[in-house]
Amino acid sequence: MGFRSLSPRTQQIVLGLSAGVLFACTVVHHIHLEVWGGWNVRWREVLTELAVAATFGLVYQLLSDHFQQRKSGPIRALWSLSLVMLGIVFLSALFGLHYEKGMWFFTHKIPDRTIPGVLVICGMAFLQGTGGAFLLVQLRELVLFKRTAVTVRNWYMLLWSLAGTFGAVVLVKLIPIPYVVEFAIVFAGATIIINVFRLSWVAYLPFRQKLIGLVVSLIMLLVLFAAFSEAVPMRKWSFIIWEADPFVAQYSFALNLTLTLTLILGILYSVTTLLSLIFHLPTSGDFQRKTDDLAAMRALTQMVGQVFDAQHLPNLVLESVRQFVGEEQMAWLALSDARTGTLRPQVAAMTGISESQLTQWVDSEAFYAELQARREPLILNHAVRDHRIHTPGYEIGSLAMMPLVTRNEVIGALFVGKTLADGFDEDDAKSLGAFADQVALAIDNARLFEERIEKERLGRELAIAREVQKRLLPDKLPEIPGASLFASYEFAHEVGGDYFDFVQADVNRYSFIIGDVSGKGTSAAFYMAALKGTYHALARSDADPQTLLLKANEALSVQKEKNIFITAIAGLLDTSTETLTMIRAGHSPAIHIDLHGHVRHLREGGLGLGLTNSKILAKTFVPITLPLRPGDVFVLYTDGVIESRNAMGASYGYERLTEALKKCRQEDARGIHAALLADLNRFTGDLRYFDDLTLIVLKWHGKSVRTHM
Amino acid sequence: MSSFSVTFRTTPAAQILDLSGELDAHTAQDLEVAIQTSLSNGKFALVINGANLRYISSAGLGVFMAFVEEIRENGGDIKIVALQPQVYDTFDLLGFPHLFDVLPTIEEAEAKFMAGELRH
Repeated sequence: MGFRSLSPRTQQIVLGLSAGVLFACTVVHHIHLEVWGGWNVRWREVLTELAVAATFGLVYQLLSDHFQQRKSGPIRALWSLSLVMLGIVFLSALFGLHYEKGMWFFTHKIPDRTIPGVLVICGMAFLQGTGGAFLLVQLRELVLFKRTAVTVRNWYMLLWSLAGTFGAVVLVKLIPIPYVVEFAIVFAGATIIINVFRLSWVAYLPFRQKLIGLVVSLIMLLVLFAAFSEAVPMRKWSFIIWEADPFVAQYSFALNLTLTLTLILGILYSVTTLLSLIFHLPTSGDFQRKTDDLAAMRALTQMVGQVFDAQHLPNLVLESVRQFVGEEQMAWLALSDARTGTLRPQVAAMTGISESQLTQWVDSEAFYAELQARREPLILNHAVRDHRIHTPGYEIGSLAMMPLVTRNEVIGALFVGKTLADGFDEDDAKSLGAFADQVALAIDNARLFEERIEKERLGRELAIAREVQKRLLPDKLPEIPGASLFASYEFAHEVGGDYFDFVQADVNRYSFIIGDVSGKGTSAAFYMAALKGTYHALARSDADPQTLLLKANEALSVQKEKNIFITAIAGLLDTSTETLTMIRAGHSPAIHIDLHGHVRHLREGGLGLGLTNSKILAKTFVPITLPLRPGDVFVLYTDGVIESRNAMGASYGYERLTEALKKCRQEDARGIHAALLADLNRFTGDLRYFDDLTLIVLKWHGKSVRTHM
Repeated sequence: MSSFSVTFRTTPAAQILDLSGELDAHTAQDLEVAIQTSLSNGKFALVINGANLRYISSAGLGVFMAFVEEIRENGGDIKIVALQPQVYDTFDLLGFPHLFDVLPTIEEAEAKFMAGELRH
């Protein structure tokens, strides 16, 4: 089990204990050497230096582990660094300034070569060594902010160069090689310079934090400088720092040199931080705005998920736009209306500009046309000069226009205006473009949602319409002496507007009608009801098919949508004269087949109902009057029969219907009806009927024969 | 399921709408939008080219009825040309030839528009 697999707590204890034991060894060494005048040999000195190196290496590791677990922001790191260093300088000052005269609270100088003297020396060295380790650990967090492989490598180079300097000093004690220490110092200096320019955390700070950082780094600079001048008293300063902090130098010369380098690193880093913060202060507004843009974008993206209210969405969008460009600017949103099908966008919401100003100042049509073609944001940085802007003064200095594109369709445009010219740079264009994409998505979502709701509403409406339709159909067919009659009505998945009815007009005459409203849903059911009203009012009193259809036409023309019409066939069966009279008003022609299988499609006839006024309609009507012979079969149907399709997409058609009729013409009305439907179902297979489907079969058996229907 | 498309062409004599595919209750709205767009652009002389129209339902026929009045009030007309036999049959059964100019070719429709004859 490796060391790193231990719990963090245990790791800390092990590291701390090891550092303590090693440190104690160095203290014992110093007491033995200085106080008791013990024997000094080179290998023992080297061994002690290695113990010092190990001690502070472990301290660094301990602190590093500790702060790795609780990361603070860059400013916090600067703060704690300043405070800790200040404490160390203060403690050093208590003892150190009066080193030569003695500690200030002792009245006399403690001789170096006494136990208290050595303990003070070692204690101060430990304090400063730990301070150096702390400095490195905190700087690491700053230097490795937004780390990359290169920055991590440079950082480790720095650590190794510090360790190398330490090692070089120890090395020359064993073998005096010239310039090894100097070389190590230069190398360490180079790595220090590389690392002090790692300041990527500065740019990400908001303005306030930068100001705070400025103050803190200034404090840190002063503190570190104090620590430095204490460690390296000026009067003893020479180019190479051989005579340095008296405490640490007495404890370990190598540690003293390494600490000095670390302090130089800290001071240089404070200087670059300070300068960088000063230079970045003016740009922090831009960085702040970027952050705000991102925030606005995120808010909108959330809106996309939450707002399904197409009515309120435009205003919410403009609310977000204001976060982008500021309150004092103007913005408006134009959307095409999906329901009316107009492609021209209408202004859905505006802010900072009134509707009348908008119509007077901006030639929106021209811009829509351009955006429709471009499908890219359009920025006018000198809007006043554009011929499509007609402001009296300089109300619109610059104008950004973003088409809203979803599913490859331009559904509208977002306009953002500023009073200043050159108000939008490339960055703005990009973020507004991205914003517009989100807006388009949000609006599309909201619309799809509304469509869905509408569909459900229609679904309920259809259910009602179907109920109405069922009630409009006859629940019972009349029994006609000498004839058999069978009729059926198949509902499609959508409600169509089929209608049929039979009424006994008097003793010998039976009136019938079949109709198909050109539309579906409630309106179709409504016109069916109107047709039924007219039919029932007239069929009993005046069963003449022509009058009946003309009256129905008049009734329908009063309140009818232009694109709705009704096709119908009205007829009259007279059992006394054995005749059948029919008028076809735009409806699918009835089929007549006689006993011998001669087929006739009764195409004579005129316009559908509701297409024109009754005067013109009457001219187009051609009544058909047929003498009835036993075996005559008449088939009336709606186009749902002819247009029923199979899985291949082929329609059933007149020919298949006629062929099927030929085969089953010997049966009575019910049998023929069943055979025709069976043939149709064989053709369509499993497919449900797309349209309602009405099929009526009337067979004349002859005056003398009585047949049940 | 059913596919339908409209494309526009403008000739000196008329605005030509080339229909193709199947015009039924579901696709009728596309034609409505197309005709509406023509009218918004001030084009009232419309030729409906049915050469590639495979099928028309009663809802499709209703579209023509919805606009013809407005078009004629503006001095224009809808002329329907080059219908395939089965589509012509649907027009014919409903009596549309009584209401609309249904002609064999685009050229004939254009000639009629050029001659200033709007209604037959």
